[in-house]
Amino acid sequence: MITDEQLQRLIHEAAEAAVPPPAGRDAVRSAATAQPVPAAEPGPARLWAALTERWHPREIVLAATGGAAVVALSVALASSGGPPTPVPVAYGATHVASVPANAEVRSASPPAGSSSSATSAATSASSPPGMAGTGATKVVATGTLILRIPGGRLRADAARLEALATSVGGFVSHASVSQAGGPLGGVVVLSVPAASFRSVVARAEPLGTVRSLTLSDEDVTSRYVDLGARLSAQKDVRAQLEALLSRAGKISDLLAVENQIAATQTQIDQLTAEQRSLAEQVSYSSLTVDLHVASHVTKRHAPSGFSRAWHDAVSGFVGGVRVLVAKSGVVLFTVLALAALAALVFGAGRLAWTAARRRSV
Amino acid sequence: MPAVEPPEPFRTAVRQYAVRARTKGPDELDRWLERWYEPAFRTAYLVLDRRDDAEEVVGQAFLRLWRFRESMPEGDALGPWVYRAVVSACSSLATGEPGRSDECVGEAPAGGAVLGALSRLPVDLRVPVVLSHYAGLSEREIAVAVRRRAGTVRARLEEGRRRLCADPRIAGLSESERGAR
Repeated sequence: MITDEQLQRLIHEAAEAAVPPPAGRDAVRSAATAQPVPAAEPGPARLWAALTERWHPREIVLAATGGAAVVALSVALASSGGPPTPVPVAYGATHVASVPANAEVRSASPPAGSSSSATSAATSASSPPGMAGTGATKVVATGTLILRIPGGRLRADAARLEALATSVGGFVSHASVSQAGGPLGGVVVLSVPAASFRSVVARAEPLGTVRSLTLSDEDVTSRYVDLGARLSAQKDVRAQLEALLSRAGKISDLLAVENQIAATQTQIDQLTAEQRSLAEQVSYSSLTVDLHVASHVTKRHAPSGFSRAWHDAVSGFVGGVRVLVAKSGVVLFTVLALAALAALVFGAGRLAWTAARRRSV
Repeated sequence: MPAVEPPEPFRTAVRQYAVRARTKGPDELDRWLERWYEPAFRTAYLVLDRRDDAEEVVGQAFLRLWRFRESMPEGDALGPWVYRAVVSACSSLATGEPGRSDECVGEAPAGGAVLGALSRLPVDLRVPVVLSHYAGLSEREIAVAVRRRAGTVRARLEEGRRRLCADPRIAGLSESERGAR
């Protein structure tokens, strides 16, 4: 077996046998002097040269593909909105979502002809109260406040709510207290001037622990304008009928016109009443205060720590599964697209690299 | 606000760089050729087993180095750059075609046998063996020259060496050498 030193010596001998061409140096020298001063390479070429000096082109292509995959995945996840927010679950609330106490109220004025509602626990009112019923916009503001109050304070709190309504020029439109059979609690509906609605809400909240608050602003401007137009038209009809009545010659005509006038007047009365009712709704906002006695609420609805943890865990699991199912399509598509792109880039890069290696030194 | 002066080492380095860039004229190229042309040619010849190709490759390598002369080191530090440029050019030409070692080195049978054995090695194995056993580069320097990891180079060196030693021509040379002694 040949040793390493012997192999080295043989290779040296083979190399020594190759005599460099005598004109080789001169050829290089003349080519170098004839070589023009290299112009500054363009940025991409210089960058590519710098990169290939340090890394293999295959490594650069793989790194670039990996980076592009990460970026594409991030963009895909970001554009799809991220994981869904778990839907809050009502504990004891019957028609609104339960929200943590002392949260900020968020309420927005709705676009014309639509209604909006903001459900949240509240400590303060933030939307301008003067919007309701003033100016050109007619808004009917309503709200539902669920309060948990200590036992034995039900009647006292109902009285406080009534005093609160009367203090701002409002009144109690409905009040009920149930003590026998069903859960202990009561409902008080306050009608208060629209301008004082938010302040009343703010002053009602400290009466107990806020379980939920629903504020709703319904824009009734179009209805109001429509009623006014129809009323004006009916009044015009009535005026024309009265003119006809004065010119009626026969009894039958007189009776027919009077019947028409009566029908028109009925419509005018209906429209007027409807308009007045709407104006009252605009000027008076309604706040429904649902009072729950604490012991019953706690006993029936308030979850224990373990129950809440279990519920959160289930909710999180369902949310995670939803995210996985929702994203799997995007991820699969992204992976397939990136794989195709990577194959394309790798193939093209390999061809270009091979060609470049053959051309350049 | 007083003007902020750049640190002295930085200014010195820039000045030296500028001076070096200005002074790298034809004399510098002569020094390069005098020192490195022959080993570069022989390295290329061992890899390619073709004299014409080796001459062409070495010429291209030196021209490329000359293009980047401002950033090239001086003295012996240029060696790895020369070998790297030569190997880079050789890799594209050494496509595994059968060599012409017998006709080229007819006057040196041992050399012809070695070249024949080398030419039968794949290029990936041939280049590290030549750089190690002829140019005397370390594994790390070879790794830089061929742009592979040191572990890859080590494995290829071992494999190339094993195949060369198992080649009957090389083995025959070894036997005749022992007999002569």
